[in-house]
Amino acid sequence: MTTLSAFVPAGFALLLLSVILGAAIVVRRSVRTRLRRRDLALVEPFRPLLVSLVVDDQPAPEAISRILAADRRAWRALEPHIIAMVRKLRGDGKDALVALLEERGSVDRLTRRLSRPGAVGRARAAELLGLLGEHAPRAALERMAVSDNDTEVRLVAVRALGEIGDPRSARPLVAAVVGPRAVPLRVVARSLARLGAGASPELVRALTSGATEARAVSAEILGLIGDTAAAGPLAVSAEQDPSMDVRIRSARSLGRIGVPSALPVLGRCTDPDQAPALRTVATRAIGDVGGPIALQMLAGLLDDATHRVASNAARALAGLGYAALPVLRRAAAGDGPGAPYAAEVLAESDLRTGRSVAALPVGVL
Amino acid sequence: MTSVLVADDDRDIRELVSFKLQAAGYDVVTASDGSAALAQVIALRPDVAVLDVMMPGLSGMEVLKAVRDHVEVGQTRIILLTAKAQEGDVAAGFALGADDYIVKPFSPRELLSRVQAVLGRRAS
Repeated sequence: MTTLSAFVPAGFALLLLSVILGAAIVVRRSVRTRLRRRDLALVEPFRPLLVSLVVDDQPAPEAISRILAADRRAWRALEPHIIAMVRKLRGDGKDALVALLEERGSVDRLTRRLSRPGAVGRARAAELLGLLGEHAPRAALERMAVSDNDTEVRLVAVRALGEIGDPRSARPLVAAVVGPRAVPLRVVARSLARLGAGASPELVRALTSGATEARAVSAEILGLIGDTAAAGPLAVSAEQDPSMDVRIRSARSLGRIGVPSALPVLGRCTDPDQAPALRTVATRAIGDVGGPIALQMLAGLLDDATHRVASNAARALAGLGYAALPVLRRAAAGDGPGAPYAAEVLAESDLRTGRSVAALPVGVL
Repeated sequence: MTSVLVADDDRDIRELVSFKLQAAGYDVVTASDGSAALAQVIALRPDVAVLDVMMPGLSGMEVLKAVRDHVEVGQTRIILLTAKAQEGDVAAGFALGADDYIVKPFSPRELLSRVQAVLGRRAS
């Protein structure tokens, strides 16, 4: 009886709490729905003006003035709608909307938010500013990418700089991978890759004089950019950098750039006294460079004692096409260590093409 | 008049594309989901259909496949509108018989050029 009398008030309290919580959820949802409907109604008269602003080759100045003349309440509803449209567009239409945001002071307001105490607000502002391209406050975002206290905010700023795509951001982006406040390398790499060839000189500088992480990300991105002028510094790094990670990335990038002058360095990277990981990547890079010299080098590596080197040599040879088929067929028919690797890639080729290249008479190839 | 169907569940995109194409002299009809898009293609046989890949109901790919399987409307040129993350779907789209694709974020001016190009290819 005593236990029951203790449970009854507790049960009522729980029930009451549930009812209050349920009512709060319902009220909140209905308020949100009402606000959303109100915002949609406020935006509706401006939709045709925005569409014509985006789509017309020469937008009517009255359309711009009418949008800019929206009262504060209407603009508060209109601004997120314009930003949503900016996300969907490229080219002149996007520029027209961004100019509108700039004119109405939205860009300044978002820029001020970058220095607010709340990390969520700063990250949101950085993300939105990244959409604005050349109109964004690049310098503020660069500072943020390197020195903001919050990891997520730095990450968003790095992404925003990639979105903006200005090669002048290369230096702060490279700096963002270094030190106790480092942003993950793959995030920085993605942003750096969007800066294009203009970032190459700064990346070469970082490759030759930066911290280990800076050298690593620079080595990787120089290969993705494909600037042949970077082949020389990358060759030096592939052979001499104190970090094995940097050497591996440099070797891979030399393959991506594909200049034949990189072959001697890549060949030395496959020497038996080098680390297996470097030898494996360099073997593949030799195949990426291609050509008759690469073919000879790979033929030699087919018999390598390290499984991954021999396997990569076979795959790289297969990637060279018909020119390499006699080499692969000879190796597959022989009893050397490279025979199973050659046979494997020939069998894969048969499966892909639906005919047996290994069985073709020599004269056909 | 050359007719174009614009199918996208995003109202902004439907309006932007329609306005641009109408201004260029095309007769434009719209659909906000895949099933409506397929019904419009079968009923109206537009010269070109611009299909968003991700739509409620039938996806752009499913509409494309159904159109290509339907002999009478097989001649409709199809342009896929795809998000950047779905670029892997492009090869599948071409295999199903798409004539072109455009990646979002997109430029309405570029879209107009692509529509003109696929119509030009048909004329030649």
